[in-house]
Order: sequence, then structure tokens, then C-alpha cells
Amino acid sequence: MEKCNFISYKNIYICSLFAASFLLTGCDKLLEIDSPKTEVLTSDVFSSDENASAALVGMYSSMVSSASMLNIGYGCSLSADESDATDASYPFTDFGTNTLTSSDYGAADFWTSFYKTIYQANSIIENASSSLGMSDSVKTQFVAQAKFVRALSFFYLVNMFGPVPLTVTTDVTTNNALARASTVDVYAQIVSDLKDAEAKLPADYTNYSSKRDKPNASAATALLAKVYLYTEDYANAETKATEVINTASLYSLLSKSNIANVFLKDSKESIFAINLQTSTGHWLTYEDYYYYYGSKYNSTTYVLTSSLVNAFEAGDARKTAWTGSFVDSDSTYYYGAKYKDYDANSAPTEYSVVLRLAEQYLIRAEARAQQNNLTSAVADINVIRTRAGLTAIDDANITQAQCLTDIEQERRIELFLEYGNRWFDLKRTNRADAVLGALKPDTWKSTAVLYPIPLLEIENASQLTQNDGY
Amino acid sequence: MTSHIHRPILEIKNGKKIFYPCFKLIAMSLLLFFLQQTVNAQPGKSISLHYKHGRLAEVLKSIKSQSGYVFITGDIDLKKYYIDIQVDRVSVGQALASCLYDHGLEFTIVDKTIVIRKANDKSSKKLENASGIAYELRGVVHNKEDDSPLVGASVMIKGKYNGTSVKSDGSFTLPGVVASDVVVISFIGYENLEIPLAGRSNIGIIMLAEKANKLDEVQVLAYGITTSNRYATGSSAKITSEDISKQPVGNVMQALQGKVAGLIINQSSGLPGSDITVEIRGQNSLDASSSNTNVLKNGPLYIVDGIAFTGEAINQQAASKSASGTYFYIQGPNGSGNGSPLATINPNDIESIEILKDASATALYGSRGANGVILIKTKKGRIGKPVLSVSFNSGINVVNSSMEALSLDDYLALRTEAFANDNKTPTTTNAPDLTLWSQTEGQDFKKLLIGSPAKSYTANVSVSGGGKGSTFMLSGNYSRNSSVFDDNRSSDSYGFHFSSGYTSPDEKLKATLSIMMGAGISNLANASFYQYAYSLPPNFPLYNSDGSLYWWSKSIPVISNPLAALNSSYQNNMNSLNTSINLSYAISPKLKFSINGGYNKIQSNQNVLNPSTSSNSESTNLASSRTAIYVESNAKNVVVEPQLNYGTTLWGGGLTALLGTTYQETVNEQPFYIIASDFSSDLYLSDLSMAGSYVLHNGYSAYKYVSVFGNVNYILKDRYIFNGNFRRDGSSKFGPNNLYANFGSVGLAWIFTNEPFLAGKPEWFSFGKIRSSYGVVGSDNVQNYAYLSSYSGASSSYYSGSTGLSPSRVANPDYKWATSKKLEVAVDLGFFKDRLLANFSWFRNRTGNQLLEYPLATQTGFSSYTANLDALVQNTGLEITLTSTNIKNINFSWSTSANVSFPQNKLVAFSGLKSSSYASTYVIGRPTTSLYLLHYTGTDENGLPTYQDVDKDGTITTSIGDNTGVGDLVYNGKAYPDVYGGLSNTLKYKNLQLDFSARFTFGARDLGILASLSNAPGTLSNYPAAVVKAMREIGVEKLFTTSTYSSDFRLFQQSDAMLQKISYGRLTNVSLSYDLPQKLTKRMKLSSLRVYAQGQNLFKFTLSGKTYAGIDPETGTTAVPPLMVIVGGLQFSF
Repeated sequence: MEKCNFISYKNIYICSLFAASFLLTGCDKLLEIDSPKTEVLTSDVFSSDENASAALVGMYSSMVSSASMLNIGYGCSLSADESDATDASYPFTDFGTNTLTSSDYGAADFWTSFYKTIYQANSIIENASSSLGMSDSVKTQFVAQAKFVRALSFFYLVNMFGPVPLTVTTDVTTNNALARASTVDVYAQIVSDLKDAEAKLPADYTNYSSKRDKPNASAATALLAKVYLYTEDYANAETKATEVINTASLYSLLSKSNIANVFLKDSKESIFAINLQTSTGHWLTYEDYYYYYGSKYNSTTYVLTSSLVNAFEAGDARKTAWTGSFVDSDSTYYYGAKYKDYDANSAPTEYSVVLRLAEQYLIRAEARAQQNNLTSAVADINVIRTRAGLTAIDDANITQAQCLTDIEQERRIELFLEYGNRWFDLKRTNRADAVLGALKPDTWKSTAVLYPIPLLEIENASQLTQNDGY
Repeated sequence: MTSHIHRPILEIKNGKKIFYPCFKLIAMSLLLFFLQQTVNAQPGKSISLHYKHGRLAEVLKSIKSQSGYVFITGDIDLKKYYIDIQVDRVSVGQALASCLYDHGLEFTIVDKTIVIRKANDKSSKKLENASGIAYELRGVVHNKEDDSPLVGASVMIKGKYNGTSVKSDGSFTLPGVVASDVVVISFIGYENLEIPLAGRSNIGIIMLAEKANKLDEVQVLAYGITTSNRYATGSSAKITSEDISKQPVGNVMQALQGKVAGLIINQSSGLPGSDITVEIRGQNSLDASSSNTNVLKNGPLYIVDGIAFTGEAINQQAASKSASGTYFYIQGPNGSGNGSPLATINPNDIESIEILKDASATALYGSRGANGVILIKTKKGRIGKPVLSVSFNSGINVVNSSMEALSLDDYLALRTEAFANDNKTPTTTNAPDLTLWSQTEGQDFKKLLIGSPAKSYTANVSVSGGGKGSTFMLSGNYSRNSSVFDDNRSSDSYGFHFSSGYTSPDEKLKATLSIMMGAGISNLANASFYQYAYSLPPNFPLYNSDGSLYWWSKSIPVISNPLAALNSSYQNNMNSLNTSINLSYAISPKLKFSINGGYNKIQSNQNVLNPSTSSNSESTNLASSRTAIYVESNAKNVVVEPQLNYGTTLWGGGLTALLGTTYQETVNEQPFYIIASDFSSDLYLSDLSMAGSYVLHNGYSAYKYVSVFGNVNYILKDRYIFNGNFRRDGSSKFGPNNLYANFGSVGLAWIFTNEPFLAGKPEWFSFGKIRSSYGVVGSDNVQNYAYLSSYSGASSSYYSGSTGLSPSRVANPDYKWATSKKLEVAVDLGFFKDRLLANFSWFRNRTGNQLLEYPLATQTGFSSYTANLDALVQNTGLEITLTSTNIKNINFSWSTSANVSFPQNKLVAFSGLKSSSYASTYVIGRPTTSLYLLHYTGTDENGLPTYQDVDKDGTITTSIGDNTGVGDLVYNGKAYPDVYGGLSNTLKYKNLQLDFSARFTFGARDLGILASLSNAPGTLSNYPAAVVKAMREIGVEKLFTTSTYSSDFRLFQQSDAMLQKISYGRLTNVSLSYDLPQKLTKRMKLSSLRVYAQGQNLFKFTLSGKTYAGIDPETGTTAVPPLMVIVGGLQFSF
């Protein structure tokens, strides 16, 4: 029988060395890895003003990522009576015929990207507020900007989809379980955010290197005016619009001869605009992308409806300055040409204008008309008409209804293709059925005023209900 | 009397003594040695003899019938001897000793032959050589099968490294031996024999037996621990270099297709270097279709020479990711990665590949092996005269798919019909094919674009040898594959392999080193030519009248000119370096320390240069159309694995124990990803400083894995086997609270044919074993850092000229290890002296606590986060493997192996499924790869298809009614087959060998190419003829439309109207080789010369009666199908 010499001193020594190495492996240090070099931990992002400002840029960047803000103008113009859907490409075909389905990704993209932006705004509001490394003044500024962006995003969501979940934290579990909040609650949140922003944002654009691409206090005021108009709080709408109009040091309408320059980046008419500048050039605005580009190749995919083209009165300077045309197969097609900067390889000469002074005049006109202050209302309309080279409306004997009709017409022409204004106007004034029912008798349904909640969204958060008609 | 430790790393000496008083000491030791040899080599031969004055002849006959041994008795008159014996369940050696020694006879056992001679003959010879004096040994070594000389076999003195090899006449002479030496005779493919000289100067003719019995083939379990199939408690399968060498494949995994039960291997494309997906026993994770390129959910663990090897496309592994979830990497030709690192391993350098399947077999790799383990062992040198061998072959590769596009006439008819359906008029804008282009002359784009046979060349050279305790092997290889596209591009690879081994004279210290370098260079055109081949209108004019390339971009869809892609250049350089060392030291005969260490790095450099001529000059400005993309990706692995092995006899059984740790560190890095554009000239594309603008990305992730584990294996009485594992795994992929978890497995086996009560079983029933294993394995298959909340930058994250940071993920620090519970029950049977072996395995793997990217409602700001889901996926299956030596004689042999698998998969439980985001994908009780489709019911009065309104809500909704309550999708079968398997045959006639193997798959459901077509038939795009034909057959021509979006067609694509059952067989390989007779090779001064012809993927046959409407069921809907390869070659060695 061979002797087992396992228990020799040498073996005990080796075994204890080995056992020691086992104990070491139990130590968590062995599992320590380098932090992800191409990512920054959230706690580090808000550790200083410089780092946090990158998160702020990220929020704006998310806001203008191709699907959200930039597509509003085109998608909503199709849903309304502005763009011709005959040759539109998918997913926009269904916007044009008002036959969106819950599985179309076109509408879903709006939903997804606005909520993504809202998350980033929430993250800034929460993390900056609790940051120990950031200076107080910067914190206040960043939180105010984030609140403006959050309000703007909810404004578009509520106008596109109706009641929507009101996500105001970064807690994913909470947010995933949220049901749709009432429209009233959503607007209350928007107003509260805007009031907060208005109080804390800088009065002018000096903080932003004089670029009108981030919200100042007037931007919050202007959006408040719009929100009050939409919620039929006409007195407040008039007050807020007046505040903006009276800020003459910053804002004034361009003259008729300069009307082609309204959308240039330093335009005095611009209150808040989107700046798509990159390190080497700029992204194209939606109009450049969809209209001007298509027109270069005589593509009928992105053209204006004849209904819109015919709505221009003779001699309207806006038709000349803000539309273009081409001939294909003996037909003349018009396209939107408010933006003309097609050279993506240089710094932008135009910003995509979200809020501008002309709209504030029309907001005030409508608020005044609704309060039966027709003379003042007509005066505001005429400011816009005169600037476009049209004759002034006579305010004598004008009825409230006529005045509102004139305002609708003026909004249609002044704001065409701009950020869904026409689509929202038709809906909030209950004119959609009449106007679109006549224009698209085969496909129009009253329930189409609200876009469908994305199917995937309802599948992932089953507490969500679908809008009628989908 | 002996214990059997079947783990060669443990040299365990027999602990018990046997005493036979009437014999001389030397005869005794000789006998003892042979008894050990006998029992070790042929365990479990239980002999029972009951004779009173029986004739020796009769007794030997009985031993022969009980054991299968044959006797050589020479001139001994067996009738002269009468035997008295009463023994039960003793070994052959014991039985013979009892019979013979009293009569002055002795015996030697050589393999299964027992030579009996008179004891006196040898004891006198022995006296020739007194101990201590060196003398010369002579002998002859033959092949036991046909008694031919075994040229090249090595004869070594055990423990001394004196050795020689057998000459062409079979004889050898070995000087310098002493009386007490033991010689070891070995030859590849044959059982080793150890013969104590006991003073003999001539050991006569030694017969070496081929390793014929698969049961005793060595199986490597893990960390060099070996067992044989005979004693294994787990499930594994092995493919050897011989199987691999018959198949002209670029990626060695292709050689496994159809060869192993439970293993599904698919290539993503037939192009060289393309990715391979490997799945062992089904999909265990719900997230199999994850779009996360950095995550692999169902792939096995690859171990090359003991070191973890990244099996996935390196460019995807390391890809950086934008905040919006886009990964930045160059896809390569066909969009299929084109970067399988396994393709950098030369198939010719591989000695064997083993596939470990169940919990018992994979236990030692722990969590990393939760989806099975593939062990790749490279070739090593052998002791003996250096051998130089050279082989080369060349051949052609052809696209072999029957899918055709419509002919010009049929296409034009389809377009006209679509315009009529739409009530539209063709104009020069919307229908150039009907108005501008030729109405009479069409082109066969399939032939033009992918119809060229590609040529391939392969060459391998290797030198190997060894002596005095060390061995070495050096090899180099080169191969070249040209393109099936109409161009001069190719994919080349070359590599170098060095391995070396050392054993100290006392055999206590052993060291091996292996270094393998591989490089692959591909410049294949980076375009989906097959897609062009079936989508380009047949009358599309490729050229303008001035000879420039023609484009069409005036309507949607725009048509790109495929020839422009040839103006782009693409290059993928892959380099891999694989090093491993293994050191072991026997501290005592029972205790051994060893350490495995290794480092590997795989690097991929890709670039794409697009000159202005590669895109439509009409639609873009020249400068911005010039782009250059450069990307580097690499993966590094470091593994260190120290361990202790202990072996002893315990309670009459053999016990081995192992204690080990693993440390693995993996870093995936993408140092840069550059898209440069706006070059002012095509000439500057390679000069980045001339770029007008650029976008940059990089990526990095690290992973660490540590583990402590123990394994115990105990074999009692040659028939009861126990195997147990325990381990504690740690992974850096988890948050601080969940870094570690404990797992383990237990395996049991019972060789019932070794039971005494079965001693009287029929002779043809030679082996029977029942085994079972159960284990709990963890899985950490999630992305690195997924538990951290972080922000990251992205190239598109710009605002106002500044770059921004966006949240990259939602933090979930709480997720834990996913767990798989694996159960297996199997029966192994051997018949006719194990010439027919059968294995039946049933397994059940249940993976719960699934670790997934759990989809969130995007109102949260994210589309998913990593979380554990309370869902249980079950894979069960029956696997049957048969190997049979049908005929075997000197001139002719025929062997067959076959395997069949019957897999089943289902989602057993999923709490909260209906309210979860998976409600639209899975149904409890159904397979996880099910097809849920609308049920097509015919056409309405407008000729449009109608579908069954399952939920009777008046509308057709494409969601699963079972879960959501609303929806018309119904279960329509599953995407995995009912049955799949393979069959291989080897026929040898003299020097001629024919091999052929086929595989088949039956019963999977697939929509074919229909599901992936973006538009209905009728747009400005050609269409697969089979789809149009089938649509016409069922009468849905009204779906033909010129619109690029047709919701009617979208519904049709989701219906069962065109559902297919994929049932096909493929003749995967035919190989014919001829070894020139020795007479001739000798004259040519070669030791061997073989000529061969091989064919791969020779043809596919449909088993369901309908041809598959798609390019190929294996490679999917757009990729180049597996190529048909035919090569001829030559192989010789000196």
C-alpha cells in the first residue's frame, strides 16, 4: 500500500498559498473594472457647471432630433390642409389622409422623442437642483430652461394626442405606470413650468451670445400667451401677448421689403428659434429638407395644396417671399420656401423659428376678438396685413364671427407650415370637420383630430387607453 | 482488486498487492504489470469460471466467450492440461493466473490477444541481460487489423526519452535499454502499449490496435481533465481533425454542421469570413432577437487551448453606441458582420473540437458556459522523427440558389397590372421602366452580379516532431477566395501556429505553450448584390449612352446603380493572436498543481472609401458624396486559472477532486470610428487631413469574471460513477449587491453491464450505461455597465454648435444572475463489441429569472432597461446518436454515424405577461420563436385578401388576441425545426476513401422572402418570381400596387397565406481521397502522398415538396446563400 503523503509540510504550504488566493478572489476588488470610458456617470455630469452644460445641450439636441420638433411642421401640415399628400412618402401618407393607425411609426416618433426630451429636462431639473458642485445662478438658469423645454414638449404632446401621461420625474418605474392625465392637468403643469421659467430666465439674449436659440423670459411669456389662447383664457392671453409686443427693445416686425429675412437667425421678429448648428455646418431645417430639396428635383412629394396656394390674396408679399414653384408635366407646383439655407456645410444663416412676434399680434387679435374688443383686434390683424402689402380690414361694422374668420385666414397665411399652427387652429376652433371634411371627403373622420397613441406604447404600458377611432 | 482512475493526469499506482507464492519474483512483477495493464485497458471484464478437472481448451473457450479475448497458444497442447477452478467475477488476468500458473504456464496480454507460453522459455532468456547492463532491443510493430507494418510508430523508453521509430518493414532497433526498462509503443490513432522488457532483447511482434471504440476516446471536460465516454456522467461530442480535413470550409464551425445532435449552426452569408451563429440545445433567453449588437444571448462559450475566445464579430462587440441606441460599426458585405474571429483560426491547425452540452459537462466553466461550451484544441507535436507535411488545394465556389427574379416580360406585365389596379397612368416620372427603358431587352442581373464562380486556393505546411521530453509543431497556412461578384476582389487569410511541450525526466513537471497568429484580409465589395439581383428592374439600363453609370432618383423607390458599389473600396483586416501556456507539477503522486494562463487579442481594421463615382452625382453634391470610414475594433482576453488536482483510492473506488479558480478579464475597445467627408477630390480619400468634415466615435467596455470551484469525481467498482461540482461565480456585470452567486451540479452514471448479475448477458450486448445530471448554472449575459446610470455623447448630439451629452441608459443596480436549471437523462449502449454505439439523451433546460432588456413605455424617456423577468423558458429535447462500424476487414471498411434531434421549446411561465411589453410577442405555453399570423380566408369582392376576425371586433388587428383580448394574430407554428440531424458515412477500400455527409431539418415555419420585402409587387422594383407566382395562384393580384406603402400588403405579409414549412436536406460534404501505395511513395522519398477531391454544399433537396420561396433557409432573405464549393488537392509528408 502506497503511503499517502498528501499531509506533508510542503503540501500544506502550497495548499495554504492556494487557499489564500481563493480568499483573494472572494474580494470584490478583483471584479473592479474601469468605468465606461465613453460614458460619464450621471453623478459626474452634474458635478460642475461645465459638465452640466453639456447635458443642457443634450436636451436641446434631443428636442430637435430628426423626429420631434423638426417633423411637426410637415406632419401637421399634411394632417391639415397645407401640404399635398398625393405623392407623400410613408409614414407621412397616413398623416395626409388622416388615416393614421396606432402602428404607424410617424405619430409614434413624435410621442417617443418628446418624452425623451422631457426625461432629459426632468433629469436636469432633479440633478441640477440637488447638485453640490454647480453654482446657484447656473442651477437656476438650467432648471428654468429645462422647464421651458418641458412645457414646450407637453404643449405639442397634448395638442397632438390629447390627454397624455404627465411625467415630471426621472423615476422610470413611476413613469412606466402612469396613466393619461387630463388635458386640464397637463396644461396646469405647462403653465406652472412657464411661469417659473418666465420668472427666472434672463430678460434678453446676452447670456446666449445674443443668439435667439435658447429661451429668455419673453419666450416663456410668448408661449404662455399661446397656451392661454389655446385654453381660452383670453384675458391672460392678451396680457401676455401684449407684454411681448411691448418689449420693443428686443422685438419688432420686419418691413415688407425685408419680409424674406424673417427667418434669418438674427431676425428681430424671432422670439425663440432652433439652432441646428453642428461643429462643421448645420442640419437642414424641416422645410429645407422636405420642400426645397424636393423642389430641386421637381419631386411632387413635398408640395403645397392648391387650397393653401389659392388662399393667398393677390399681391401678398408672403407668397412671393415664402413660397417657390416649379413646373412638372405641364403642372405648376408650389413648395414652402420660408427657409432657403440649403448649404449644410457652413454655419447656418437661418434658425428654425418656433415663436415669433407676428404670431403674438395674431394671438392678441384673437384674444381681443373673443373678448369682443373688435377694434383692437382688427388693429392687430392689420399690423400683419399691412406688413404683407395687403389692404387693411375695415373695422367698422365687423362682426365677431367675421373678425375671427379673418384671424383664421391671417393665421393660415402668416404661419403656414410653421410648427403645426394651422392643424392646431382647426382643432381648437372646432373647424376641422368643416374644413377637412370638405377637402378630404373620402377619408376624413372627426376622431382624426387626435393622433393615435402608439400601439407599442399601449402594449408596454397597458394602463394607457387609446384615443377614439383607433 | 484495482481501482480505475480514468483521468490520465493522475498517475495512480495500484495500492494492493497480490501474492502468488509459487512464482519467481520477476515473473511476478511482469505478471502484476500485465494484470494492471489488462484491467486498465479493458475494465469491467468480469469472468466467472466453475470447473472441476476441466480441459484447458474448454476453460479458455469460456474465457474467450465471456471476455472477447483471443488466445495464441503456439505449440502448447491444450488437451494435456486439466484445470480446477472456482471463481466469480474476477478479471481475465486473475482467472488466467489461477488456471495457468500451477501448470508452469504464463501469459501476456497484448490488447485483446493473450499469448500463452511455457514459463521456462522466458526465464532463461531473461538471464541473457543482467540488470544494469545496456543492450540493444529489437522488435516488430504491426497493425493489429491487417497485420501490416506500422511505419512511423514510436518506441520510447518510459521516463528516459530514448526512442526510435518503426521502419518501413515494421521493425525497430533501440540501443541503450536496460533489463528493467519499460518501452512505450505509440502511434496516432492507436492504443498505446507499455511493455516491461524484463531483460528481453527481442520483444517479438507487437500488435497495436486502432482506437476503434468511440467509448474510450478521450474526452476533455475542462482544464485538461479528461474522461472517456465510457465513464462520463455528462453529454459531450467530439469532432476530430480528420473530420475537419474532409471539408473545404473557411470557418471551422461550418465543419460541425449536421455532425452533432443538439447543435444548430447557421452561417449568416455564404461569403468568406461571415458570421456564424451557433446554438446548443435551443434558445434559453427570451431576448434572442435582441438588436443590441454588444450582447449575445444564446451563444456558447468558446475555449481555444484553455483560453476563452471571443466568438462574435469583433467589430460589433466593441461598437460604440449613440444615445439613441445606434451602434457604429461597418457591417461589411451583405450586412453580415464579415468578422467572425473564428475564421482566423486555420481549420488545419485544429486537433479536435468538443461540444459540451449538459450541466455536468459544462459545470467547470460555470456561468460563462450556460449556453454550452465549445472546446477547440490545436495540434501539438509528437515525439518521434520530424515530419514535414504539405498540402494544397484549389477549387471553385458557386452561388447555388434557385431563387429567380421575374423575367422582363413578366415584370412589365406586373407593372402594367399594378398601374391598372391603382387607376394610375404610367408617366416618364413614375414609370421609366414602362416608358423610357427598353421594352424588349432585359438583363439577368443574378448572372451578372453573382454568377461568377469564385476561385479558392489553400496551402498548409507543417513540421512537427520531438524527443528527449520535448515536442514541437510549426505550421503555416495561406488561403485565398475570390469573389462571386463580377470583380477581382478576394478574401485572403494566412496564419502561423507554434506549439511546444516539455516533460521533465521524472515526469513531474509538464509545460505546454501554444502561439497562434491569424490574419484575414477581405476586400470584397461592400454591397448586397443578391438584393440587387432580384430587385433591379430587368430593363434597368446600367449605363448612359456616354458610358457613365445610369441612375434613377426621380421617383420612389430610387434605384441605385449596383455597379457604382464597385467603385467603392472596402477592406477588412483581421488579426488574431492566441497564446496559452499550461504548467503542471506533480507535488506527489496524488496531488498535482497546475496553472493555465493565456492572452488573446483579436483586432479588426475596416475601412470603406466611397469616391464620388460610387453615388449618384445628380442627387448629391460631389464633395459631400466623397466619404471615408475608418474603424478599428479589438477584443482582449486574459485568463489565469490555477488549480489543484487530487486523486486517491477510497473505499475501493477511484476518487479525483479538483479545486480551482478562474480569473478572466475581457476588454472590448473601439479606439476610433471616423466618418470623414467633403473631400475635394476622390484622390484624397485616404488622406484624412483633406477631409472637409468628420464625425468621430469611440467605444470601450471592460468585463471581469472570477470564480472558485470544486469538482469531485468518484468511480466505484467500475460501474457506479458520481460527479459533483460546486462554484461561486463573480461578474463585473452586476451591481455591488449582486456580484457573486453560487451554482452547482451533480452527475450520476451506472454502467449496468458491469453488474455481476448481468454477467450472463448475450455476447452482442457489450455495453450499457444509464446516466443523469442536474445542475443550476448562472448567466451574466447582459451588457457591461448596464447597472450604472450614465450620460454619453453622440455625434448627432449638437445644438447651437456645441456637443451635448444625453442619458445613455436607466440605472437598475438591482438585477441579478439569470439561472438555468439543466436536467439530463441518457442511456449509452454498445453492441457487437461496441461496433455499434447508441446514445439516447433527453434533456430539459429551464431558464428563469431572465435577464433582459425589458421594454419600457417610451413615456419613461427610454425604450428599455435591464431587468430580471419572472419568465421561465424551457427547452427539452431528445437526441439520438448512432455510430456504427458496419463492415471492417483488411481491404474494405464502412462506418456510419447518424444523429437526430427532436427539440421542443416553450414559454412555461411568465408572470404578468399580459400587462408586460412582451404581450405582443409571446404566449404562455407556446414556443418562444412562434409565428403569430393572420389567418387568410380568401378575397373579397374587390379581390383584396380577407382574414379571419378572430376576436370578432369587426376589424383586423395585428396583435395577439390570446394576450391582449383584442387581436387577430393566431399561432402558426414555430421557427425551429421539429427534427433535424445529420448522417455521415466513411467507406474505405484499400487506399481509397469516400466520405459523404448530409444533414436535414424538418418542420420549421417561415414566411420566406415575403416577410422581408419592403414593398408590394408592382413598384419600380423587380420581385422574386416565386412570390409573384404564388400570389397569382391564390388570386390576390389586386395587391399589386405601385405605391411604396400599401397597408393591404402589410397585412398580407403578416398572414399565413404564404406560410412555408422549411423541410430540406443538404448534401453537405463529399470527399474522395486516395493514398498512394507505400511502394510508390517510397520511390518518391515521401512517407505519404494523398490526392483528394472534396465538395461542400453540393445540393439542397426540398423535403416538403414545395421549393423554398427565398434565397436559402439558412442564410435568410438577403444574404448570399452557402456557396457550393468544389476543390481538388494534394497532401504529402516526408
